[in-house]
Amino acid sequence: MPKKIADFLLRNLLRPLLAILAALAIGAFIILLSQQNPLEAYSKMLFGAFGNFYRLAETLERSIPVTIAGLGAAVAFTSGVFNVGIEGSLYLGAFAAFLVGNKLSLPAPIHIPMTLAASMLVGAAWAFPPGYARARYKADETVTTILLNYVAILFTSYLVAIPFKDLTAGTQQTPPIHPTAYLPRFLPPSRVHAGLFLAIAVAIFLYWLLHRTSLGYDIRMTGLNPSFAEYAGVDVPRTMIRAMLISGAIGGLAGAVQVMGILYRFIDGFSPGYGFDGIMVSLLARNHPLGILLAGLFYGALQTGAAYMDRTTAVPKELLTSLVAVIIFFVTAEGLFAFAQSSEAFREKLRRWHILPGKSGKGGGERWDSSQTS
Amino acid sequence: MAQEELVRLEGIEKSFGSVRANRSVNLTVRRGTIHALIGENGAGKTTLMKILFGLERPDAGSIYYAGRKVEITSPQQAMALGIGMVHQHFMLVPSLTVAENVVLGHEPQQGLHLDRQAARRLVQEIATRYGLAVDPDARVRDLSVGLEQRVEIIKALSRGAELLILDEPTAVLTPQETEELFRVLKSMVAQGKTLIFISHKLKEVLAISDAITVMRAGEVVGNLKTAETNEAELARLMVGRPVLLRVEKGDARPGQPALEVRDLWVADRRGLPAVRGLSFTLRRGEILGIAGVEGNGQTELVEALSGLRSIERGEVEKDGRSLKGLSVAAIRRAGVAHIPEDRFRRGLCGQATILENMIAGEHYGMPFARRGIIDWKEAAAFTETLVKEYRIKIGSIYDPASSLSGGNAQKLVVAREFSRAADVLLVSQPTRGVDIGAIEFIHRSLVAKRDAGAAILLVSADLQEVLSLSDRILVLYEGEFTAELDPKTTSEEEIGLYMSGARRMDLRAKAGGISA
Repeated sequence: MPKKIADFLLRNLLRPLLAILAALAIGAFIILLSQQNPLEAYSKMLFGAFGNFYRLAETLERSIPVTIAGLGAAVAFTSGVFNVGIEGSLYLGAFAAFLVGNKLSLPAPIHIPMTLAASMLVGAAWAFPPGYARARYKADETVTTILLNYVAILFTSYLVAIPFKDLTAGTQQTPPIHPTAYLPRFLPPSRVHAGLFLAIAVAIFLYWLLHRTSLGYDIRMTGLNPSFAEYAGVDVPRTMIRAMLISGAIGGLAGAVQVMGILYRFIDGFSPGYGFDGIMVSLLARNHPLGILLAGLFYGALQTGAAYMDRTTAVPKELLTSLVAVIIFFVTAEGLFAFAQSSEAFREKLRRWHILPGKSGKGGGERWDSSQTS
Repeated sequence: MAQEELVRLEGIEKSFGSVRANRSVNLTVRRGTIHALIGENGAGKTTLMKILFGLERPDAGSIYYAGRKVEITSPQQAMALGIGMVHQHFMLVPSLTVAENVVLGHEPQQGLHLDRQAARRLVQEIATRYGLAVDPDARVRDLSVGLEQRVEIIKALSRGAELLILDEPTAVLTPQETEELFRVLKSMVAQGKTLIFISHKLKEVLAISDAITVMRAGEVVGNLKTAETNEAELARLMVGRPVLLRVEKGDARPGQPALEVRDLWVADRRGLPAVRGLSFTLRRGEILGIAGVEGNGQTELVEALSGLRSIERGEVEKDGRSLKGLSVAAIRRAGVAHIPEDRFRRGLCGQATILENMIAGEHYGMPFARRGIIDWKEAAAFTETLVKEYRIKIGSIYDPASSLSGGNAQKLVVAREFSRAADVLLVSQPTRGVDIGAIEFIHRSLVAKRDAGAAILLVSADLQEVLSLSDRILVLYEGEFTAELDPKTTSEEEIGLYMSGARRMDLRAKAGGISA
């Protein structure tokens, strides 16, 4: 068992860490090219993320929506559905949170859960059509969800520009929600709010759901081997749809916590891409709900650290963006690589077991390349 | 007559990590003979041949070829010496023609271009010489498996192979194709070639080889002359203990009908009818064998009965209750267990743990789940018990199923399906790619299930298996039954005639036999 744990840590922590280090090294090279001191830049970044109470609080605050969005993505990914539509669910969920938070007037212990529930309902509803189309008609969910994101975002833009516009404000935003729908901020004076506990609770719940329940078993087997799942009596299309509903609901929640904890109203285009960042976070943690907590925190740290570095060093803003991109790329590419590798290892095994055609092991067929050119 | 020796391997050692795949192996192959190398899966046969072909380097030991000590470090070098190998999995380019595949890597050239005429001539020449008829201009993707194998053999011969290693060449062939292959092999030997034939099918080895070397757990445990040995002795050597080759079973005592199938029509993946109006009754306490060349509707039949494929027309009843249109889960609940033909795609999930695989299908309700929550403790205890009972060799129940060997993976599927409270068992290809020890075990388990009153539908491409296990045989050809036979009075040859559609019984006239 200790060997197992060591093995688990090695595979799930060491390798992402190495990827991060490699990315930082490339980033250092880019900084050097622009004749700045990478060590200084990185130390500013580290300080910016964790240096004092305020910096740490900002990191936490920033991590919350990304982590929840990541958890939403992970459920769909686990079932083998590549839901890229978290961003859409997030926007609509956020708007639903504004509606319930603004139009209803209730005591907080009822108002908060109702607002959260409304956002989840709307988020789930938004994920249903692409989920259904994928499960029943094999419509490519990547395409449908990406397109539906635009529909959702632009729809909320309309709502906030005309019917629900706060006429007293200069920007495109709604009137505020009632304070009874606020998520409590527990680390004043920072804005870190109870959404943090919500994220942790959702992660634990998801872990439990995926590994301890029949539905979780269905979702995992559907993702790993649909033909086996079908054989075991799993209703594969229905399981995919359910995973999409859960995914969308959590996506909606990610939007709601931002409205209820930070903004207190709906603002046009409030998300800088939390839903897409969530996908990266989920890939980084290989869809493991508890890993996503760590990955989300890392992502938050990267964002606040980079922002701080931007303010305090001469590293130009454009370079900073590309640095973040390089790190994200490396980190997620590592995840993708590991995924490809594990499934290739599996394929190799299938070949060895005579399931898949083709050669197993090394040797043979090395004439292939030369023949192509002749 | 003592032929001169062509290859001598001395003291070959090869380890992979802690596994000793070859332990001081000695092997002598004489020129102009067919030398069989037999052993169970994992006995080290393929490793030894990979060493001879230069794909693996031995840790110790020496190789002599035609009297000279040689170092073989690559397949190119092996081919230069005159050693060729036909792998179990063919290494052909599907989009190229036969001739192009054959000359791949040593193309006859005309300026910068491939000399297609020369390539074609080369194939023709070899093909006529050894009776390997094949069209040099056919695309490989259009060829049957048997023809692909011929192309592989022609390819090896075209590089001047004197010694040809064939790794389980018959594993993918029908009985007719196997016979064809054997004819070719004999003509090759008659013309002075030497063959090493890897197999674990004893009948074939006895039919084709001149000498036999038996391996077990990386060691050579016997060198025999084919004329002086028999199946029982070879099986004992391979497994290390006496093995029952005949399935021991008493007469069936068929009871009440369990499964009633009437005029069943099922479409295949392309929507064409694959099962065309089948009717039969499966009774408790009997094993009903379905014989037939693969692809004649067996897959569709079993998938329709288990709910994996929809029924176009007809009726399936279990104990008088219709199963038509029910979900897979509902059919399982109704007491139908299913051992699928493709155990790695269907029967198991390689990346999931052995434990997770074991509860498949039973993960919704008691005893492994309560109100949608899985009781992993209960499941683990049950899995441990089954693993012991079925003697499945595993590291831990938390290892992925892909860590299991073919035989153990199949035992896992068998254990799971047999442990279900099911009285109808749909069993497809239960022993394909499984070694002798496990085959014996699975066969015995099937007979024990039958004697306990289960109704078993056995679909197998292995005629021997169908003949020895079944109490009744139906022959399937192009989605229809062409015969109902009694295994006690029929023969492989007779079944073969019905399998190929050359003969056909009028089963409606004999309806009494089919449906009563």
